[in-house]
Amino acid sequence: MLSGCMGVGSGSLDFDSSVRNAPGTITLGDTKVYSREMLINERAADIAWIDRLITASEDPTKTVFQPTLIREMEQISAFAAALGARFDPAAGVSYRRSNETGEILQEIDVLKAKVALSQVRRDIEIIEAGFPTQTVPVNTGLGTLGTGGALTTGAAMTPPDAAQVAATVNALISSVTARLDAAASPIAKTDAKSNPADDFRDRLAYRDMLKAARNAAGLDELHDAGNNRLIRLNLQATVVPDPDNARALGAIQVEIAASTSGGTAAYLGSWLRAANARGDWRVDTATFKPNNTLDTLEDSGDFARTRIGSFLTVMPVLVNESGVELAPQDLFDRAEWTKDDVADNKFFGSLLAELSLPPAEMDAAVAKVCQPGSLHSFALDIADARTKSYDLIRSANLSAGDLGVQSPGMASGAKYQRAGDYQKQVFGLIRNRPDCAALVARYAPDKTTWRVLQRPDLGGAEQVRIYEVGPREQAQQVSTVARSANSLALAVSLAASAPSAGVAGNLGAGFRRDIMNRASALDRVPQVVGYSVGGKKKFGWVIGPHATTNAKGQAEVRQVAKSYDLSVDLSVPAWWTSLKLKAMTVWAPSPQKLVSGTLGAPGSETDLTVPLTSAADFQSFTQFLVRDSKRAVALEDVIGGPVTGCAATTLLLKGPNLWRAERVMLLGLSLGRDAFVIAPDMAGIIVTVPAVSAIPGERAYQLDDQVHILTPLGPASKKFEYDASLSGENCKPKPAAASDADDVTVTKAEPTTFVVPSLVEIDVTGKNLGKIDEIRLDGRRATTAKVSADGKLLTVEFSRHTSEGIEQGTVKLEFFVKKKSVGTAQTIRITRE
Amino acid sequence: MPEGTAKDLGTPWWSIRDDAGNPVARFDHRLFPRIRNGARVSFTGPDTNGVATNVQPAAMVARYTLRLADEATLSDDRKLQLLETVMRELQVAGNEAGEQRQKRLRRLRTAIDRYEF
Repeated sequence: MLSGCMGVGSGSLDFDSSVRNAPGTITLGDTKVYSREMLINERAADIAWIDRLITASEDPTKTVFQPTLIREMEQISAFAAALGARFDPAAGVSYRRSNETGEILQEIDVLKAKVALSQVRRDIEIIEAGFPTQTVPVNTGLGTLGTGGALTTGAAMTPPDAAQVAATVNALISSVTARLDAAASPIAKTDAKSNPADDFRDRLAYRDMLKAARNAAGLDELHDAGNNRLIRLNLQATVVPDPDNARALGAIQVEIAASTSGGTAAYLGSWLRAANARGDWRVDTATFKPNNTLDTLEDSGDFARTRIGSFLTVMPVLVNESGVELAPQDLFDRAEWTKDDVADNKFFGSLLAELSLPPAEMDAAVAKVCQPGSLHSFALDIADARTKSYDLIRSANLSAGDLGVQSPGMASGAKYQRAGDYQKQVFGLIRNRPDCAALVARYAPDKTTWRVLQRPDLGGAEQVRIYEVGPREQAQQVSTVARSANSLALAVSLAASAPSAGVAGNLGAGFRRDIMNRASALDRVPQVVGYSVGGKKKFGWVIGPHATTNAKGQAEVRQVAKSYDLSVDLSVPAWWTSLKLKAMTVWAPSPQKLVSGTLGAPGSETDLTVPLTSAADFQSFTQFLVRDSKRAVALEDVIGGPVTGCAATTLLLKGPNLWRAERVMLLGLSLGRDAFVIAPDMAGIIVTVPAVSAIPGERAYQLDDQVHILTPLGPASKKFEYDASLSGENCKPKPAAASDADDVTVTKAEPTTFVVPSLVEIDVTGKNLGKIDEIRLDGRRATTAKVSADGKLLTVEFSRHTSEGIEQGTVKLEFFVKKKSVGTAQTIRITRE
Repeated sequence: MPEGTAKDLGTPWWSIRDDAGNPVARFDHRLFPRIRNGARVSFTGPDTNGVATNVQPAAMVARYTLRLADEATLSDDRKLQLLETVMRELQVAGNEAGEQRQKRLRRLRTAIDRYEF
């Protein structure tokens, strides 16, 4: 990770590697939370895409591997062509030769000029020797201005033309920029072929890479083990550069602290309420039946069957502040909830009367309170148990209504108030008495907590797994920097050059060569790199300085004010209602501390509490509590249908862990992942079943009328509806037949949803309903049926006993006249209690 | 004399359960510290507050009441007198130790043998 930064070749692009561990000036915003459902669908889409790539990789015409060397050659020659032969590395020799020839010619020119100069000087001397004898002027018209030109030079230097230089440079800039911009353009076709062995190795490596990516996109078996769920946290980090650490790395390290215990306790309370509302858990003591789950819960030591009144419930074992465990049954037995209310009132009332004395007599009276066997100590025992058991009932959200009875054993608010009031008053009297120390220590109102809450895997960070820290690596393309820096820096360079430097074009080319070197040497400078520290529940990001250009046109790195979108995928217990994070930011962190997860910089810590929506279902939470790691797959309900031969049908298959399905089988068909999607609540899958004609559908349905879901955790099956009559010609709408006035017609049945076992009463509307002599619901005969005088309303009843045996799902309400089916069968939806 | 099973509820105030497991009385274990959790006990009461005022191991009580070969022929009143005497003396002996306790129990046995209860 860091080596990527350190590997930067150019000196000016190196970050400042000195370690200072200075407090970071990086702010972290509130987190956004995305659900498991969204992540799983997102990952499923990625997997589907990678799967397509893997499949395509099998076909040599779809995935072509070209030797890298050819690509490099093409790049070099294309670049050279773009710049012209003068800058073509392949033409370097000829360029150097022409350079040398030019120099010799230049020397000849110089020597020629020197000879010419000597000749001119001798000629001048001869001419000057004849001056004394000359009497008549040689030149006439000296009084007028004219162009000189008595002498000519052999090889004069041409001064540089600024416009010409600018044009040349601009052309060069354009060609360099165009070439760099064209980096992603398709590679020109080549006749070069790779041999089959190379192609195989390339293909194998490519497929391995794809498979690794597929595994990364997939989710391992642990992401939802122990009732965990996947969430994504998004954080916005804003870097405010610190001038003292402008070229240093920044680091954000986040520690997963834990869930807030309040949320877990609230969830436990809801779970307990649901658990105690279950008929097979909360049983009448007279009809008590063994229950494995209850046994296992009790074996864990965290819960215990507790008899409240005449009912057995499951209650948590409590622990007080001293670590002493309190069995819930003991609490309820001590609380004397069943005591007659009048007697209870007298009991506490008379005890308080004993203490309603003048101050002079109080001391002796209070001394008696603390003696063994005193009724006051008995009352304190009751009051202590009453307040604790009442709190327990309240935290479990239980009421007599929940238990389905008005049990005389249930706690009453009046008794609770009475005991609490007594406890408060007596403690006020005995709190500071040495002879009452034992009693005070025993019954001091202290806070109790559920023993189960002390389980480290319930609220601790141990349950959290860090899945992916994003971005894994967000890099800045330095070639981009070079490209953008190119024009500006070159212009600056040229502007600073003396006009006499006729080699300005060459300087520019040299500069560009440097740029090219950088571009090839420094592909990417990592800007944000995510990391996690295994086993320490810590993750974070390293923020690298930004590559940019300085005023001199040189590339350099420095931190700039910038916002980053960071994310992390976590697997957290599904019942957590919040997540606590401790974040800290550091400039110039110690690499050793960073990788060991021990970064620290005073003053840069931030505590973040992320509210979560609890998504655990009570059944799986119970499994977690009893440490049952088995993840059962069940197909509980099939909604939709029937499947026909006319058109595709959509079925919603509901049940736990069905979203893991790999294949769905029905009617002899095997449907793959492309035929179904995961339901938004992940409680099932939505399958699109193609039309299956009566042949072979009818025969297949006779042999197997179940839909089978195949998952890595095992299969699940349930009956579904198939209507073979809707096939072929029957798919076309028929002209309405003239209805016989005496025919039975059923238009509607209401209501269409029932919870069984219960008395099921259905109103059927239609015509001539009085002719119906038999009505069946899921094959079960109606208990009673009454028809209105006009024959348009039929009220049908199925007794509780009759409805008891009806399976959950959709069933048919059918009508018969003399054993022959009449009217249109109605669909009724049944839910079992 | 009612009998039951002592049940430690985690505080000084224990419970006495009947054979069906229903709580029938409470007692302060500090007054009868030799009673073990789950022990079969004979007890006096409960009073109007549900408190057993004397709780003794049932076997110990039986050891004294069964000294009389013709115990079965006693009238109910006499049987009750015998039980109350045994319970009272055992309660007092419970707070004694050594020779003093032995002496009291010897005196109790003698009193029973002489029908002096």
